[in-house]
Amino acid sequence: MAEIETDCLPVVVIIDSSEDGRREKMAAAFAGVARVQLAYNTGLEIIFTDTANALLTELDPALVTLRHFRDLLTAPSNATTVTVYFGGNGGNDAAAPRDARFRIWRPISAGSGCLESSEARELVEFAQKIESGEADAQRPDFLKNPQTVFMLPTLSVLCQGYLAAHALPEEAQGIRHALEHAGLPAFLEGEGDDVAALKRVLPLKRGVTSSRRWWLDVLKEDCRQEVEEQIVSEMGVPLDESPAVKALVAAVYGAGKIQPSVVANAYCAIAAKLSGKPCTQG
Amino acid sequence: MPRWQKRRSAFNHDWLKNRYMPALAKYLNLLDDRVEDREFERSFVSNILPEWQENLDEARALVLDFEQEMSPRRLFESPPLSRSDEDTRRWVGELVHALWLRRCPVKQWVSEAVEATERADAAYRNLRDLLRASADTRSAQAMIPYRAQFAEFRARCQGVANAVSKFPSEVKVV
Repeated sequence: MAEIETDCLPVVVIIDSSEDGRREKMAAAFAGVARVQLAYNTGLEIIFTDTANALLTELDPALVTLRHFRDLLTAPSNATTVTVYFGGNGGNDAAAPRDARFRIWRPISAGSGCLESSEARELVEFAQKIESGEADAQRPDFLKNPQTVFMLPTLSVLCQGYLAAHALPEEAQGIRHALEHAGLPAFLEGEGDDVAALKRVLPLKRGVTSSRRWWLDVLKEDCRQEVEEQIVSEMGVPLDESPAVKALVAAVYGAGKIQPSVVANAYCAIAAKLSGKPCTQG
Repeated sequence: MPRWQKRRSAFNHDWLKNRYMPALAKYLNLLDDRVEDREFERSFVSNILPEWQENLDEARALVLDFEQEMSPRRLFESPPLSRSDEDTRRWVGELVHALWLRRCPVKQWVSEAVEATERADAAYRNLRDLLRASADTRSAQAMIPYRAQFAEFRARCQGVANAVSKFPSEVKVV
């Protein structure tokens, strides 16, 4: 297999003096996507290395600099297109500089939260758009404040309630892909007090979950526009580009009963957005 | 940020990883004669080391509270899902909680973190018992025979930090 020509890859600099392996884990996510350089403060000196641990005399100008909140004074002036701040306390860290335009909002530690390969690729592509002058480029989800993401989780929870109530064998055929993704068939075939209690209740909920009122109690009768605007914000695309979610909203604010296929398709679209894992057709 | 995440930050990030463990590491360096800090040397065993005991209850509670506090069922406690009726809050809440427990290895995360905490505490108690028999805990020279126990305790603290770091940062609904 031909080796990747790394010289033509953009440079990502990771500045993090923590000694728990976090900077190496973050660096690993960029394999094949960027040429990563690391900077850290040992307490005695500032060290620059590449991912093979070879010492560097200086950092190269970077497309992206990932800077730990507590490393604001480590290599503070290296040229970069986009600086993204991160830390173990998440984006609300009190050490965040006032002008921190981009930050990873979830807590990042060596044990959990580090960027995945797909996110690293997304970040590089986002920075390349900024570099080419696309100032309003759609920022990756992990750079969005999660306090502003609540509508998709809300819809997902309601969809899961609806799908569980409609998971009876005679009804489940057309919505199998969504049921499987939610783990409902395995759950309902399982044992345990929680399963037994829910199995008694769920068939009784088919009627209520099919009524628009059940959904509107949560979304509110007179708030369609706000709901749609929030969905657009959280999906990151116009509503027309989320046809399954648009169809659910139309059903909830329309007339008649809510149909299983509408809920199943909306659930899958939301799940793909929230988890990155699409439903697979059986 | 969910309340549990704030508690985790305060315990794991702010105290354990950024204050307590660096102090333990510095003390080990001191025992190895790699650094010198007379005030730190005199006060570490009496003032800093016992912080473990002060934070142990929170470590245990934090781990055990994870399942309840980071469950997607908690979404029903704030708008918009809190607007649903009481019956829906109960049965859908139970459902998403049960599905979450099957999707994520929550019980495993908890049991690993409990075990890591108890192992660290055992190492701490072992060290504390040894130090009780020591006449002079203010001198690094007198503490050198216990270096292995200090190192063992620090390694166990790292185990706690790693186990607590493994818990996810967000309430996951899918």
